[in-house]
Amino acid sequence: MKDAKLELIVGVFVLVGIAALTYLAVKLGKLEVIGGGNNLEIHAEFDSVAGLKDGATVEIAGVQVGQVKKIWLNGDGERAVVSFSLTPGVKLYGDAIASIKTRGLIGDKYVSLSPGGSQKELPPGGKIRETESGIDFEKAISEFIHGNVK
Amino acid sequence: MRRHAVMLAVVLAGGLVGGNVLGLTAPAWAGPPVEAVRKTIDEVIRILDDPAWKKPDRKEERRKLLERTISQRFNYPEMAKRSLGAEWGKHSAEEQNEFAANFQTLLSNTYIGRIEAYSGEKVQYLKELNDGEFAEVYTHVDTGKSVIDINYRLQKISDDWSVYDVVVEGTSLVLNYREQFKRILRKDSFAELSRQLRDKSAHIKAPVPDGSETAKGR
Repeated sequence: MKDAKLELIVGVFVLVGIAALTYLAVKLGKLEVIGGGNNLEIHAEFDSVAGLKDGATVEIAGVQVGQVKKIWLNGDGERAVVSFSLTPGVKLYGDAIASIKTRGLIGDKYVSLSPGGSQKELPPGGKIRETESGIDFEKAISEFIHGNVK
Repeated sequence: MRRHAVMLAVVLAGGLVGGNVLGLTAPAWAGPPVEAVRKTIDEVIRILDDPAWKKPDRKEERRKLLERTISQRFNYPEMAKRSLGAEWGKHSAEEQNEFAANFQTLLSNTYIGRIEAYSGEKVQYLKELNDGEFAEVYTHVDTGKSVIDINYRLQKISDDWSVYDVVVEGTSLVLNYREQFKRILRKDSFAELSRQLRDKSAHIKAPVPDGSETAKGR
């Protein structure tokens, strides 16, 4: 009787341990087993996504609003198509712009979104038409080329 | 007779090659968006190369003509709208028009000096992406020392294509200004942004070049 109780406690303990490990693996691996169903999926085409990986973060104003789900070549085999999974409530419009940026000088690549503000909201599964493929020191070069306001 | 035929062939071949390198003839794959961009670029180059327009007393007039030619292809109100993002919709049509006019002056004053410094750079049309309503035209500008990637993003409006964004070396003009405007609007009002555009335009206005047609100021 005593042995059976001990075995039950050990069993429960092992199950709790397995559950905790599974949760940790899902969290660390950024997998979407639970709660990923309501996410908004959007895609965009880039000339190059060199360095961008599946699972890379997608940000608006530095706030993470999703992640890269999949990267593949388009029908012509010339451009890269990236699909993002965005948290519910994120609003993007027809003139939204997606850019690939680098964190710091040699950091990871991530996708930065500028939501835009035209009347047409981007529907789930929609495509961001305007994109910028990543280059280093984007901003400095951009301001140098196009001039700045200040 | 045979000598004449050979000479004619050489002249024709030379014309075709020269034309292609200068971007004067469109490649076989070129669709209406490439044609639209090419037409404007050719016209701008024609004005810049025309000796009649190079006379010192006609420089001011030439600048106006260049600005008019470019503004027929570039949709400045759309560029201003996209650069302002969500802020655009919060203002009256009158304020929007004033902002678009100031933005046009800023862009015009930023670029006109560089355009006037043109000294035979070659434009090559590389490819076109077209989904019916929107298109992107990829070009190379060969300055002799380096090659610059310039893409034009166009929108079809009543059967004509107009440019709403220019992507130079992978950086978008609209996104550049959108980020700067956002930064300014975080601290200041829309009226203040409009005023800053006006001041900056007046400040950067390039002087009309003098008689010597050199590429100085690049």
